[in-house]
This record gives sequence, C-alpha cells and structure tokens, in this order.
Amino acid sequence: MSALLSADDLNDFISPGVACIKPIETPSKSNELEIEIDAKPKSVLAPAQISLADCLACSGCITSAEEVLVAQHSHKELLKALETDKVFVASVSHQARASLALAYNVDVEQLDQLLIHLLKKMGFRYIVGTSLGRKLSLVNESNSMIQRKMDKTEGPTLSSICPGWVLYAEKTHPYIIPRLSNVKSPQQVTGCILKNLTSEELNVPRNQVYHLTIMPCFDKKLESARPEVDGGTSDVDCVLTPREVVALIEEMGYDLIAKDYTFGNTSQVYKESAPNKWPFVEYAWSNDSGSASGGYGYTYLRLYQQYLISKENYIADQFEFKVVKGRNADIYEMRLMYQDTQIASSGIVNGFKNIQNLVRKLKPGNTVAKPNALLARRRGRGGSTAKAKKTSEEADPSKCDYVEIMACPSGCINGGGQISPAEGIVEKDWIALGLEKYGSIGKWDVAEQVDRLIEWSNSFVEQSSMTYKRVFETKFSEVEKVTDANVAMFGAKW
Amino acid sequence: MQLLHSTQAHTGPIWSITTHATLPLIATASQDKTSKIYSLTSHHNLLTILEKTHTRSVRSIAFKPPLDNFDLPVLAAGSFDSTISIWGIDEPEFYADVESESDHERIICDPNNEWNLMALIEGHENEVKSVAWNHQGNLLASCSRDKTVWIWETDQETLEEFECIAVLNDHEHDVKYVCWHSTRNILASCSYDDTIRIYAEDDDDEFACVGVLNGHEGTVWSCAFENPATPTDKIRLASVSDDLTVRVWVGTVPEHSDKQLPSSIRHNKEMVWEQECILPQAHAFPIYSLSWSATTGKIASCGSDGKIVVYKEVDGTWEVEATHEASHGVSEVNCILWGKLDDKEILITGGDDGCVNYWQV
Repeated sequence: MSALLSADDLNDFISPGVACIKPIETPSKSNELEIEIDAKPKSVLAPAQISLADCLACSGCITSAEEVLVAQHSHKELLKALETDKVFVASVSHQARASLALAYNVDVEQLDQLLIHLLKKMGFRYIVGTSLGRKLSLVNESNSMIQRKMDKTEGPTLSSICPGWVLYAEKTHPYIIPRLSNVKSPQQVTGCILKNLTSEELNVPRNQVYHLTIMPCFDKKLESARPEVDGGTSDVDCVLTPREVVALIEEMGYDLIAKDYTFGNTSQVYKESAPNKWPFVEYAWSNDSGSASGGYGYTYLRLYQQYLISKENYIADQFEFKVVKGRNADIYEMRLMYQDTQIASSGIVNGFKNIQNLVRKLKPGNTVAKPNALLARRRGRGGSTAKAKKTSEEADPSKCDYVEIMACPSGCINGGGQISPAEGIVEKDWIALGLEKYGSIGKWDVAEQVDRLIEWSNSFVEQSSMTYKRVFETKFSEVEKVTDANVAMFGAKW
Repeated sequence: MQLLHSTQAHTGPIWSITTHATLPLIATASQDKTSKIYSLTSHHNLLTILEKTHTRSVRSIAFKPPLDNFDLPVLAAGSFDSTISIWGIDEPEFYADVESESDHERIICDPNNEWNLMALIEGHENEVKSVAWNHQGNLLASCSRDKTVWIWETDQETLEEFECIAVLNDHEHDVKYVCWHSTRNILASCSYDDTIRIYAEDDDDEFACVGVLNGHEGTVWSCAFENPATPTDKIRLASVSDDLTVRVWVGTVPEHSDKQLPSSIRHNKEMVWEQECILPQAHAFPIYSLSWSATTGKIASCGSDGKIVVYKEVDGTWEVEATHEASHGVSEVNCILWGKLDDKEILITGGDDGCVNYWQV
C-alpha cells in the first residue's frame, strides 16, 4: 500500500493494442528475402488511417483487425487492382458527389460528368449513381415498416443503413439488435445489381467484376466486408471516400477539372455510362426527399400515407406532416397526422451523443428501485425554482415507430470521409454548403414509383440465380467484446 | 498542522471524499465498493452506507450543490464498474413543518434517514475515474479510462433523467479527473496524456474544448479552479501531477461573441491559457490531489509520499506554509479537501489506510 513499497509510476491505461488479441500485422524484415518478380520500387505502405474522430465519436468500434481491413480499401489497392484484367465498375453516392462538387467548386451535374470522364480514363467500364439501390432500400424499408404497423409490432424499429451505428450496436448494445431493420443499404444493393448486370452483359464471371464505391464514410468499407447470406462473392470490392478520391487524383497527377473535356447532355452521359439494362437509367443519379442521409424516416411516412390512401380509403387532404424538434438539431421527430391524430412517426437521430440517449432509453429493465415515490415527493415540493416541465412537444425518438440513425452529427452529408472545410471556413458553414449541393440534385419521387420499382426488383431476382434475401437483406449478430479485465488487472494502480 | 480526529471509514483505500456545500455532511468513496456518509460535526457519526450497487471500486464521489437551503442532499458516485450512481434521501417525516435551517440540518443529518439509489447512469465504456457537478447542479460531468469526458443534464430538482449532452473525446488517454468552475459553466479535465483541457459552451450551446494546457511532464491527477472572493476577468486553475509539481494556470474569460456576425467571420471562443507559475516543490512522489480554499486562497496538496503541503500566495509569490509527513502512516494520501468543522476551516484527507483524517491548520 505504501508508496515506498509499491512500484511507482504504474498506471492502468491500456492501449487498445495491448488489450487486443489481434494485433496489427506489420511487414517484417523477412520480406526482403522474398523474390520479387516485377522489379518495381517498393512502395512504402501508408494507408489512410482511421482515427476515432474520422468516423465515430466512439472508441469501441474500430478494432485493430478492422483497421487492417479498412487499410485494404485504399486508393493504392485500387491502383494495384486496376493493373489486373478485371472488369471495373463504379457507383457514386449522393453525399460524396455533393462533397466533391463543393470542394472543386462545380455544380453536382458537372462534377458527375467530370468524375465519369476521369473514371473511364482510369479504365472503368460502367459508372452509376447509387440512386437505384437507395430507392429499393427505401421501398423495402418502408414496406417492412408498413407491415410491422399492420402487425402492430412494438416500436421502435431502428434503421441499419449506417454501418458505424450498426457496429456500435453489435459490439456495445446487443440487446438492441432485434430492433435493427434487416434491409440492405444502397451501397450493397447497388453493388449486387451492378455486378450481376455487368457480368451478364459482358458475359464474364461475376467474380471478374470489380466494383468501386465512392461513399461519404469510412465505415462503409466495413459494411462491404460483411459476409453475404449465400457466402458468395461480395458486391463491393473497394470503398473510397471523397477524401481518398482527392488523394488519388493528386497523387496520380490527374485533373478532375479536365481542360479537354466538353460537357455533354447530363442525362445522355448518365445513360452512356450505365449498363444497357440499367433500369430507370435517366434517374440513376436522382435524389430523394427527407434528410440528407437518404430520407428513410420521411419516406416511410410518405409511403405509409400512400398505402392508407390507396388501400384503406383514407382521404388524401386530411393528412399532415408535423416536425417536432428535439433538444438539438440532430434529433427530431416527424409525425404523420390524420385528422389531427398521430398515426405514424419517424425519429431522426444523428451523432453518438444522441444515439447514447436513445439506446439507454431502449435498454430493457433500465429502471431503478423505488425512484417514483422519491421523485414524486421531490417534484411535489415544487417551489419557485422549479423550471418549466418538458412538454410532450419535445421529440422522443424512443417512442417512434421508426428511427433513422446515423453515427455522424448532421448525418451522412457530414460523413467521416467527406472533404474537410476549405481554409478559413467554419465547419458548420461548410456542412451547410454541402447540404446546398446535395439539395441541388434533382429528385425522383420514390412514392410515385413504388410499383414499378417492386416489379423490376422482382423480375431482377427471378432472372438472377440469387434469392430475394441475398439481394435485399442482411443480418446482424452480437460481436464479442474483448474483455480486458484481466489485462487491466496487472499493473493497475487505480 | 494537528490531527483533530481520524475515522477508520473503510478497510480498503479511500479514493475520494466530498463535503456538502451547506449541510454538515461528508461522504467517502472506497475500493471496498461502498460509499459512506458521516456527519461533519465533532460527533463524526456514520449516517449511512451506500452499498450493493457497484461491483467494483467507487472511485469518485460528489455532493450536488443545493438549489436552496432546504434542498435535499444528492450524491453522485462514479465507479470502476463503468456506471455512475445517484443517491438521495426520502423526504423525512414532518419535513413539511421545517421552518428554520437548523431544523432542516437536524432532520437531514439524522442517521435514520433512508438513502436510496435514484438513478444508475450507464454510458462509459469502462472505469469511471471522476464525477463533478456544475454550480447550478443541473450538469454532471464524468470521465473515464475510455478517454472521454461526458456531460449529463438533469432537472436539478427532480433528478428525473440524466441525458447525455456532450461526449468530449479530446484527450488521448485515460482521463483522471474533472472539475467545474464554481460560478461559470467551464469544465476542466486532466489526463494520463499529461494535459489539462478546458471546455465551455459554443454559440450553439454545445460544449467544446476551448483550451489545452501543456506543461506537465507526467499524468495530471487532479485540478481545481480558484474561487476568489472578488472575481476578476482572469480565471485561475491549479493542477497536480506525477511530475511532482503543483502548477497554477491563468486564462482569460472568453468574450461573448457577437451573434449578429456571420459565423464565418466570427472568431472562435478559444480561451488563452498560460502557465502562471510552478509552486515550490515539496513532494518527493506523485501528487494525487489538491484543494484551493475559497476562504483563504491557500492551496493544499497530498500524494504518494504521505505528505500534506499547504501553500500560501504572498504578493503573487507562492510559498510553502506548512507540511505534514506520514499523514496516514505509511499509506499514500489519495485525496484532500478544505472543509468546515464547527465553522472553522480544516483540512480533510483520505488515504490508502481507509481513514478519513481531520486536520487543524
């Protein structure tokens, strides 16, 4: 116990490396003994490293093993792959386009054309927006919510579109997993369709198709590595963020703003860059209403409203959408009102802090012994100092049917892989500018196309050798936490 | 320095002690997974044991500042089991009839009062190292080995809900201690990364790091804001460290930025902090705790070498006023606090020997 007897300078901080059973592998010197066939100069591997600040304001999500995995999705790996004889295809997310357009100070449509031009020059055969995948995700998510509503399933159902949030839930709050929606994200759905159509059209095996996605978030790399239900080839081979795209462009000496490029008709460019059988090709890059994370919360309410009108004879002009603010801009509720009564609701929750409060509220049995009598009495004392009680008009996503959850504050438009603010611009203003760019992307109202989309996706599944589950569903399971209790025991002072 | 009284409160080490701002109450936190509340009177009687809640050491403990002179006491306790417990008493019988403050004091300090667990706050990934209430009692800050500082908001009257309003992950390592300024919502945290960080609300009322204090060459174990009798526009903070120093830092109060200006040209509110001085070295081993007296402006420190040291500022220069060796026998002294016993200012220490010692200075 005494300082004089105990070893001094002991401390209980254990770096993740010590606690982790899977340490990062570093190339050992024995590599030098390997015979190298091609005599290229050795490149010093410096992959884009993920820090907590990049992706999630949370330390539990990125293990050393995941960091290794993420390093495999670097632009260097892409360049290496481009030297092989695979067929290269790419898909680009809306938020990434907004970020690049903002950084290069061009319109989103111009950016799309320039990016398509550059990717083609690099050897990409087909390039599409992730709109088709997103619209199918939106329809599937909304329809499964409507089904739950019919079944009177107790809410809330939580979206699983954000891989950062999903990983956090799997590792830290396994009790939440049954609430997660199993609808696949736009990245994965787009990837599946793009690979299948490309392979069919060019008559090459599916595993010969290499799919690059450009995503606002580093965690999308982890999502792409999730095993498929059929254990088959993955739908995405490399995920790059706008930041990495910029690094790639700079390193290779490319000009995104190519001087020799003359802008064409945008829809024509979109059409020419997609596989021939790409459905609704004129809308392949179109946007959706609602949040800048994809509008999942909004679309559910919109499609539910439409369902009630068409199937249950509700009167169209008796509906009202109501937005209820939360305690900060990253938490709010949308309510679908019918004749002044709430009939459905979606919550939007962005950022780790707000996610925290939500998961704590949803934890089963999270009540404390006899608080009520005590609280009632304390409350009963009232007095002049009592502050105004919260009204029911404050958003509480834990009581909604559905919650759209994104790990990044402001959602995907502020993803960890988006380009940082230009010199002298405050982050908040930069995000607002990004939102403006995102909002400038033309919309294609998914609600008016539900039947066509479903019809097409059914025929797609029929023609493929895959099941509906394989194309549109994913699953989640608890990830064992590396308990470092034992590690923490040795050398622990306090 | 003279030992007035010693209470063998726990069998295991005491990690933290706290006193109530207006009531004669003192609470301890111990490795034996319990906390105890004693009367801070010459009787030193045990009022209650808070137990069967935490599964590992209780590391830090803090009484909520009372709303008024009749507010019921509330205690927060942070544990190595990663949770924070909130404790309060049931309103005693006949409480409604209480009219004078002395009645209130007598009733609240009755050992028959039942202390109850009011909330158990989960969120930190692993060991909670410190908890602290702001001066209004509506914000509770906590820090952990998970490298983060969290701020929880509650209704200071009903303590109904603890909602996380900030997760601050500026530190690179284990965060050892958090403390609030006594009149402003400015928070300081110190860490195994050898730095101290200062947080305040930005224009959107979100807490953000507004200052980093670099200088210590070892773990910063604790820090305390000055609570001067006449506030100035300078804020001072003292800190203690593994590097055997006690340092005083001075920062300028952030100006209220003009909300009329567009945020792009509005300068941020970063505070300018600099090291004012290093106090005369008096410790031979790491210093774990300090307390800055609001009454006399004296600083007291204690640590691994078993010493208590009192420093006094004379015309801007700090000198050692008193020292006491082997304050808890051969044990380390983990925490120190200025407190009041029968209206006289005393020092209170807690050690690895499980004792709470009361000192006349």
